[in-house]
Amino acid sequence: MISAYLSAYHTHVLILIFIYIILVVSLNLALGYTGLLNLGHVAFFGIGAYTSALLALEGLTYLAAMIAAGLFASVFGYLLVIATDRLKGDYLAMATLGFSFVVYSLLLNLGEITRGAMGIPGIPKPSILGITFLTNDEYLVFVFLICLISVFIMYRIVNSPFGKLLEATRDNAVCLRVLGKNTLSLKYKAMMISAFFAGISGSLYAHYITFIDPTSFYISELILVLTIVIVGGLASIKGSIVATTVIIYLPELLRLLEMPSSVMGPARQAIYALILIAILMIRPRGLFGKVDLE
Amino acid sequence: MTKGKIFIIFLVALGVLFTAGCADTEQSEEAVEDVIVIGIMGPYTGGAAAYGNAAKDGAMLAFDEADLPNVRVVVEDTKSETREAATVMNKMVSVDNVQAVVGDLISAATLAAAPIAVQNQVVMISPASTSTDISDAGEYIFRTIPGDDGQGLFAANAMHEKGFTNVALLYTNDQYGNGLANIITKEFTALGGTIVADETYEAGSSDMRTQLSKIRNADPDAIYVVSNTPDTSVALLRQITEMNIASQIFGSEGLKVASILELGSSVEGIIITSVSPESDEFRQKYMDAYGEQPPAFAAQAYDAATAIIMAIEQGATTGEQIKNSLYEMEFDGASGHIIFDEKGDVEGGYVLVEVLNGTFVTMEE
Repeated sequence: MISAYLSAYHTHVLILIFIYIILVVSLNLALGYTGLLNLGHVAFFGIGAYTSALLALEGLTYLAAMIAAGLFASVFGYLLVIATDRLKGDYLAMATLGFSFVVYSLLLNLGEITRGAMGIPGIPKPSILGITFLTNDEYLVFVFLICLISVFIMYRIVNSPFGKLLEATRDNAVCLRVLGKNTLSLKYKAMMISAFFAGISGSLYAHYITFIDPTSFYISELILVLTIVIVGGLASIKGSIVATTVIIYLPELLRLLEMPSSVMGPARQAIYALILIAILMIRPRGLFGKVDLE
Repeated sequence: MTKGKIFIIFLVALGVLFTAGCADTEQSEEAVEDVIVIGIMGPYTGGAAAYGNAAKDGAMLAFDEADLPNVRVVVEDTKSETREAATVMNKMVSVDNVQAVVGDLISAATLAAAPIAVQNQVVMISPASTSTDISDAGEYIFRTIPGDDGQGLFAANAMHEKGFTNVALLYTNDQYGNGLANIITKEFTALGGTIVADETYEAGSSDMRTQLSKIRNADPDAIYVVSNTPDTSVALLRQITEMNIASQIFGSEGLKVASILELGSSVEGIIITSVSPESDEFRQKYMDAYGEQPPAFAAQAYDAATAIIMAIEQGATTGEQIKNSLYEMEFDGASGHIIFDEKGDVEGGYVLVEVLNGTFVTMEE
């Protein structure tokens, strides 16, 4: 049905966009709204992907594996806050970046469980109530629904009184404590919610690509996700959605430029970088950003 | 002011999108005629770009030579990333309507793209992916390079035959390094040897002194080094010399790059396990076309392209027909005798290559 309008390629790009929207909005929840400079987000994404893939290969139904992926990532979110609760700003960034490295090393070296560098091939496509999402079109519908639900929940969270408290933690934590609010508990909750949705998007990613290895959840991925949040603007769900679409779709548009194959790869990446720099020169706070991070 | 600028940017972007969209439909209409589209994918940016470009050049050489009027070739960069590989495969399948693809090089990328190829009945022939998982990736997935088991068994036997009993392994902690190291360990211990040290390093790192000092303490007769980026190979070999490690150095395929020869006398005598050298005929053709010795994987890519061309010349037009034709064909390619087994693998042969007087010399049996 969808294929009448879109080729499998465009469907594929849309699927990636929806998966990354969940990932980026969840990072914005911690980074933009709560002001936690978290560079460990991509680790939650990886934990979710591995958890879900391994459980599904053990025979767990997809929905259960996906929820487990979110919960397991969430547990790591809790642990990360325990480990870093005294750190702020740059120091928190360094510590959470370390967390990314640690998770990457674990995925790489716990060979018995994760198959290490060999990666996990043959991850089954999701199957819910007897319907298996085999084709890109079917997967698109499924991912779109999950993305819609996830973003809706996060939208409600940031616009609730609880969400305002998160923003207050970012802007003036001392003042909030004076008012008798437990900022540490707010941090825990924000990080766990953020990690939960990152885990869900990891699960969607793993079961879509059907092959994962540790390098899929490392620095280059982290840079991509951070770029999207910054280009979209901190503390703006709308910005994250628009930026995800632009940044995932832009390299694909550049593919359609006719170029000799000898310069094609590097030239595309150079143009891509120039466009991103141009966006940030025109809009230093990102497309729809409301706040600056110190 | 700024709003105006943004508006202009969006307009330009929209324009690009529309023109691109138009070009796109024209192309696919053309493709419906009787043009067979063949894809070439691989890393042309990032750490493995040198190998990607070599493979692309090798494959293009075959297509230029054959000059089939009904074949169009599309090339896409996958940056050695799994997500990119899946995107490229989707694009090739649905936009370009390809029937067969030469690529990818990195095993992880090949494994990520393979399910899409299988689902859409598109043939994939990798000139460089050696992971043993690829054998079982599907009936449309072929390769013109033998799997890790080939090189691993050969290396273990070669070290054993040369009389080494205590061997240290130093390899990249990635798919390639682990796959190879596992097989060498298994085979070499079965032959009665001992692996005295087993050290890994992260892909892309350039300081292996910690691992090397552990290896030096284990006092091996020989060290088998696995590296598949030229920069790492150079750094590694330089540090081995700096640390005065006197053991015999064996190396994997990836060490056979021109840049290590620049290290001069310190690399003399290093022995590399390498797939059988390309034929003289191919080397000459490659030199004529590009003015340099064919790097690793160029001959394998040339053979992958040749196999596809032969299938098309035999009348195959769809991926399914090309696949069927591949399982039946047999020919002497640039990289050796090519015959695909029931898993789409080739047996391939290995030789030992020694660095002698600043060049790579194939050792006699």
